[in-house]
Amino acid sequence: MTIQVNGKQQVVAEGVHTVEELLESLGVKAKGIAVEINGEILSFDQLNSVQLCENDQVEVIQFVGGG
Amino acid sequence: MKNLVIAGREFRSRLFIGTGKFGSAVTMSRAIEESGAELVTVALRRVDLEKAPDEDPLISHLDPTRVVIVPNTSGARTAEEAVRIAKLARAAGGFEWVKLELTPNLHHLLPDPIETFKAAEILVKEGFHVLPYINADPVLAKRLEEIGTAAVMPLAAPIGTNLGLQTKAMIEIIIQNARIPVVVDAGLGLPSHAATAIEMGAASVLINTAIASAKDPVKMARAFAKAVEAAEEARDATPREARSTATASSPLTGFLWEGKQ
Repeated sequence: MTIQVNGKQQVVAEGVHTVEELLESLGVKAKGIAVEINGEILSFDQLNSVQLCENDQVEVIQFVGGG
Repeated sequence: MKNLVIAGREFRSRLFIGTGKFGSAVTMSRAIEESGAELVTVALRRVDLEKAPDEDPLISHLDPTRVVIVPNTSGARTAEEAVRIAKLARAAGGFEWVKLELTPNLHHLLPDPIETFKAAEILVKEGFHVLPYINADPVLAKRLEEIGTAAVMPLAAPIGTNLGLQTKAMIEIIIQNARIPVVVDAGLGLPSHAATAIEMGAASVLINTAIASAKDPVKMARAFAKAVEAAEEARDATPREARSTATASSPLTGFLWEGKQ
């Protein structure tokens, strides 16, 4: 399955079905981040229930320094 | 001295700090701590998936029990994008505060008043405490107050320029008319600039570049804190007005030359 993560095409590794598993495979810790799929913001407890689908547009964002 | 209150939250310090441009997270947190600032801004960006996972995220260096963390919507070019960023920030950290920052032109980074107003209307309705970053426009400031923003943040000069209070006359009008706190933001380069803003009646100042890009950010943060505190105390002491003719401080009688021919 191919999806887009932060604007880049990404082939999802085998065994990755949920957003939580995707974050794990990308080495991203779920604390202090937000995830959006196809423009919908996911709440923290949706991360392990929402299933990824072909061509999903995923955004993974975090806090950085800013004024 | 009366503490500053914004959206029901009391602040002991009138210095707010932006967390961008610091050389390290350790320097940033020390600068915040030593300045006594109780409100800090952060930005939101895509996680860089090319790089190794961030083991030490910025947010872990900020203590939400000590400082109010206010995500900004920097990078947004439209009201829609700003609302999206505010909601992402709320999802990521549970933050109800947002510094509305809509700067479509990356050359001057001046805020778009129309998109800012539109986004403010939406975010106020969504229950956010909205702090809009605006040009020093008294009419816009009043309009934002009327729709329920928690404060207004007029700029002193373009972001990161250290030019000081270039918009002084307009900020004075904003302060005279405002019933919500006026936070002077952007362009303040020296503690004396911040002090002037507070002496003028600004509720607080937000400093980032001037502290973060100083050679010694921690020392500069302390310097800003002292200036802001001094200005607040001076304001509280009610200074006398400036005048154009002299009034003697020493008695005008009993001069040594009196009575001589």
